[in-house]
Amino acid sequence: MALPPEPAHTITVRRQVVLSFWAVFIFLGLPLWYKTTAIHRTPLPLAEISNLRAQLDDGLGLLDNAIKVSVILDPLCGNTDTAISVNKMLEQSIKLEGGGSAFTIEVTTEQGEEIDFQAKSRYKAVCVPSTRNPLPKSKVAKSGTIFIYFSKDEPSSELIVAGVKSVFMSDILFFNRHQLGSKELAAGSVLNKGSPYSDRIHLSFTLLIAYGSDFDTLLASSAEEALSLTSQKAWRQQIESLIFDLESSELSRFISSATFDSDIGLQYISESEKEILDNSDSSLYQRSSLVDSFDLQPVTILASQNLSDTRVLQFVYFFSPSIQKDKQSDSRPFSFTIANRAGVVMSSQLDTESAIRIFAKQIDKLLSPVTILLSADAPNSKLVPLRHEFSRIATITNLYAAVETLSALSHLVTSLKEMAVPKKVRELVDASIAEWSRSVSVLSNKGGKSIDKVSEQIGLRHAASAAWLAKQAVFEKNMMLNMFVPFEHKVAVYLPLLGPVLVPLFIGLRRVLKEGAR
Amino acid sequence: MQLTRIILLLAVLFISGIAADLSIPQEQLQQYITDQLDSRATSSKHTNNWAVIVSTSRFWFNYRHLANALSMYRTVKRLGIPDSQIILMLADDVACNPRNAFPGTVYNNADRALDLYSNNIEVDYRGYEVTVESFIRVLTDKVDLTTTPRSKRLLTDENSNIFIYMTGHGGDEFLKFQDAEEISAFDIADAIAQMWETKRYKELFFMIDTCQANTMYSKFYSPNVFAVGSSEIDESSYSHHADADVGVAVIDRFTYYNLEFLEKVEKDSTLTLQDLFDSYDPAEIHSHAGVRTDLSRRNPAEVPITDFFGNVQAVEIDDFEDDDDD
Repeated sequence: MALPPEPAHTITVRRQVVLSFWAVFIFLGLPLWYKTTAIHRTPLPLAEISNLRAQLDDGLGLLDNAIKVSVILDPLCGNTDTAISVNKMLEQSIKLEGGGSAFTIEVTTEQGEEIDFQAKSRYKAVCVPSTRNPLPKSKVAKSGTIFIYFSKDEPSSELIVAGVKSVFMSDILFFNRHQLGSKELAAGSVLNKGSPYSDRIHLSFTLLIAYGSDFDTLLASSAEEALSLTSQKAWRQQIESLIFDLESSELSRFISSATFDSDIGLQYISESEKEILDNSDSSLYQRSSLVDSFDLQPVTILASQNLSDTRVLQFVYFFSPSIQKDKQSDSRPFSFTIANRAGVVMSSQLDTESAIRIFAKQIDKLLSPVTILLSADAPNSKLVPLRHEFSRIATITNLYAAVETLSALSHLVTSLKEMAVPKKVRELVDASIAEWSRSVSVLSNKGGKSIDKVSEQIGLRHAASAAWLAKQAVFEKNMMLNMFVPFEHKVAVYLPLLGPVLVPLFIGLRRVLKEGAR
Repeated sequence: MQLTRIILLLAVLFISGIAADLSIPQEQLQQYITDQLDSRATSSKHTNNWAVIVSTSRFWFNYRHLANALSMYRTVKRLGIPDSQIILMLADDVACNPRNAFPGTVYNNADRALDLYSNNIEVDYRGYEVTVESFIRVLTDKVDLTTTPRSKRLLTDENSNIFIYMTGHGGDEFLKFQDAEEISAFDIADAIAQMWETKRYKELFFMIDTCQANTMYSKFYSPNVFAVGSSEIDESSYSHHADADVGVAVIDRFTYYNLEFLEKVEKDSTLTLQDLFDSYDPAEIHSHAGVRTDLSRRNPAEVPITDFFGNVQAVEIDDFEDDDDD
């Protein structure tokens, strides 16, 4: 027996209910779902970033007064062909980080008797046969003149190039590695204290001494302190006087707008694990292998200190009578520097005065390359004659670094679609591009005139700020990638949520459509 | 009938979704790797070494995972990487667990010859600090600079070689953190991609000891990465042995045999990565260890093991002369 037909009123009401549910689902539900689940990505000026890259690739035309390297070849070094060959080889082999080259190389041949050895110049390489000048070895003067002696009648181009490169490339490599005194510091010196970019520097001085050494006697006798002082106090006193002196003179010129602090410590080293374990105060001990005199690992920075955004210079004075040095006749301590962060002194005899002098020079070297602003004073350093040239190199490096960082950010944002891009990143990118443009506009060579030193420094500061802001943008802590959710997980979440809603919706719609067709 | 069709359609969509392969085609990947390496061509050696060692497991019965991590920690320290260049993340503290019959100690061998939890360890992330988010932030250095101390940051640069070791419970393209969340193979791959773009490593060696471990590096697409895992897909990794007095397994097989190899390595060792890979024996490990080398141009036979497990400092000799000279 068939069911009685439904009243028309019922069918109408059903239709209205189904369509109402659909309207709520489409016009309220879907937008709400999209709004609450979409990843917030602030649009970045990708076209502008590409434009910066294109500008760099085309050549900025900045800082045309590059460092001039004069390579003077004695006729016995070779002829014009040698000069051309050396020129080409040097140009090809000298590359700076961040792109570009700040060197122009001029290779000429002159008669040996006419070479002016006393004239001050940048990196003058003089190739001289040893038969003419019987000096025992190659010598590099502080003026930058490099004497290359050879015993053959005519040295090869490779020998000349190697000799020239060995000197000024070491300066370039040093500059590239020891960036502590460059970009961010220059930015900090420009901006006011209290700004988020002001620099902090932490100096860490550690005396490492072999376990069992009679330190008190040794230190007291050389530092003229009272014998009652403990090892640590005596060491601390030495270093504190250094810092005090540095504060009032040397160091203040480098970090006038930055703040710095220091820690001073003493650590014993032992090769024997048993000695370390037996000692009651084991926090003082750091085990180290003393097989190789250069096998000295950086001393661990004290973990309790929050040095999150601080430049750390770590100086370790290591005293061990067992260390053999190459220069047996030289009683002065020798030192070496670990790339980018530490100054290390090693000595075969305890000489705190020499050590402290070397520390001061190392601070100078590590901080100095581009921090001198408009002061006429200059610290005593081999880089002194070339300071403003290195400023130019730093500027170019910073400009390239800023663009590379922004390009990396651009690539990350476009390739990782699930990465959130907060508004702060956009602000930092905009600020970085603005600083970049300011730097370029200050340094653009207008009318072929050379750039004055004030403009150089201003350009450097803006370039450093651009690099710094770009770095802040790419490492912004809220720019995180959303975690990957496997498809089956999504189904497991959405199906129980949407199933009870969608099933009646579709069934209702189907029925409404069937009734409508009837 | 209509409803049946709808249900069938949904089922097809579901299955195709699961089966969808999100990997990058191999040709495209190789081209990308080549382009990236060419654009950043440099022949200089790395200048510093870092290690990130993570144990993701909680609870006493996962003692072996912490022992794995501490064993690797001890090894890299022995070979010269200082604490300041190691990030150690331990999700639990079994040394001080009330169930530990030897309080304050962690052993990786039933003979208990070596206490891994000695007086010279530095745990950077402990307990509930070990999360997927903190791990990703460590790798990408997207941390809160005002509250994160230097010791908890991976302060690497473009000349750093990094060794990443992970151990815990894992599955097909995921690794469990803290019994509460997971990290997927895609997340780690994307984190390493971010590291590459921001020049945070020169070369990276990724080692993982979990079940189905090889799936965790299958999604990597960044250059200069070597990866090893302890087991294939649908394969478990097993523990090596238990200590009857401790009461639980103390080390996993894959890590055990890695350590056996690494104990022969000294700072001046000439052993290579290929030697390490060749030492993996499925009969001993009880699973098929996998290796991935297609992301690097270097031949593993020419890569010293100390490139990742040791510490290298490029040192320049100064020559300070007196001011009066010259």
